[in-house]
Amino acid sequence: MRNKIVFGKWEAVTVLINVICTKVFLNFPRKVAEDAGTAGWLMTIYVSILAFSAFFIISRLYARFEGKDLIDLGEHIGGSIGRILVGSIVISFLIYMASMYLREFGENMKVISLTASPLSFVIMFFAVGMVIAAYVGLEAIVRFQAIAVPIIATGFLIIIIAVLPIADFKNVTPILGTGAYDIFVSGFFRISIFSELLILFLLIPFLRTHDNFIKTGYTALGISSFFLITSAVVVLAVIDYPVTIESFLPIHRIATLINYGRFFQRIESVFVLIWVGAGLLYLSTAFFFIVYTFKKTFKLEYYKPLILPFAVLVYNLSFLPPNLMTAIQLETQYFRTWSWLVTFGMTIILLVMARFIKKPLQKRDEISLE
Amino acid sequence: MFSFTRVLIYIGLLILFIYTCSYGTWTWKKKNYFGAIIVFVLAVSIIALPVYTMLTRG
Repeated sequence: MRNKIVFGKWEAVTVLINVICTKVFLNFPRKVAEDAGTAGWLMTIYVSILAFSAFFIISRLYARFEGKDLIDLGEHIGGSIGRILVGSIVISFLIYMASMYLREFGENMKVISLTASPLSFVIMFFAVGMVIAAYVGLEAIVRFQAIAVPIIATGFLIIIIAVLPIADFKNVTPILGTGAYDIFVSGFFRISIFSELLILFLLIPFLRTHDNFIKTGYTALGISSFFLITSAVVVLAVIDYPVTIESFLPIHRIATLINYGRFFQRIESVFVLIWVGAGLLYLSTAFFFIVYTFKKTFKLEYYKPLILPFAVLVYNLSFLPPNLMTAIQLETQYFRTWSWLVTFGMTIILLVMARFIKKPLQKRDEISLE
Repeated sequence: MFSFTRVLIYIGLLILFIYTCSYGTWTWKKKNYFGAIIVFVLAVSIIALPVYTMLTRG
């Protein structure tokens, strides 16, 4: 039996908001402060504009290829070899992303709440969540995110609004921070902040129309940019630079500063709740797309027999970095510098090449998710 | 080195290896030879990587 799964723009938007913005709870505010000093917020605005521009180009080029994801494009250009090449790049990208984030979530959880528990035990909980989510399937993942993401966003905004009285916006000056070169030249590579937009290019067959794809992309980019810029501005305003770059988890740090009378203190418990929720949804989405892309790339009949093997693979890969610092380094220095090449570079190249291929597009198959 | 927990982990991995191989065999019978080979590679990697991780990272 073949399932025909289609979901709306809102569901897709919430998936993208979650995968793009989860880094806000990790090291994003610290990283932008490291890159551009007090102008971290300006660099975030700059990379948001770059991401919008890149998406504008991609959406224009995609007009001819309605309902086709990146793997379909690879197949259209290079047949089986093209499909396998593009699929392998996407799988590698997603496995790297999922394993590094799994390690970081586990380590951070251990630092904040489960200090006495072994790391393997903490990471196991996230891994089990990923496996269960993959078994229940994409429809359950996206529909759950449509409910959970507004709650997570509300929790985040409560923290942001609650720290505003102690924010000093003079801290975000000098406007150009460590200099225009750091913001506009070195900062270009930080467009990789939006590299999770790759998920949108895999969601295309489920969105059906090109119009839905465009609206989903722009809405997700707009809301994600808002959260990223807000987090950068508020963290820099609350924690003086250069102390900002010493904060392990900046949003958690500012949440600990909230103090309204006797009853509204230690709001970081809200942070832990929303952070774990966001992390689990992020990993569930990334993991599902690993097995889904693998199935589609190698034309396998089912994806469910691949869930446990890939869970073991991702779980073990997350232990390869010898310590948390190496894991963070692998994410921030390599992934967040070069991942734009896959999300934006590869997509644009594929779309340009596909325009020169004269053969007719294959008719869209029903999407099997078994 | 060979504690009871580790033996259990190895047994679990072995079961998963056999399970993945059986999917590879089924895929091979469906005449998707390349897909089957990749599934076999995946099966080998889920044995090799955990053993490497346990030996090097403890």
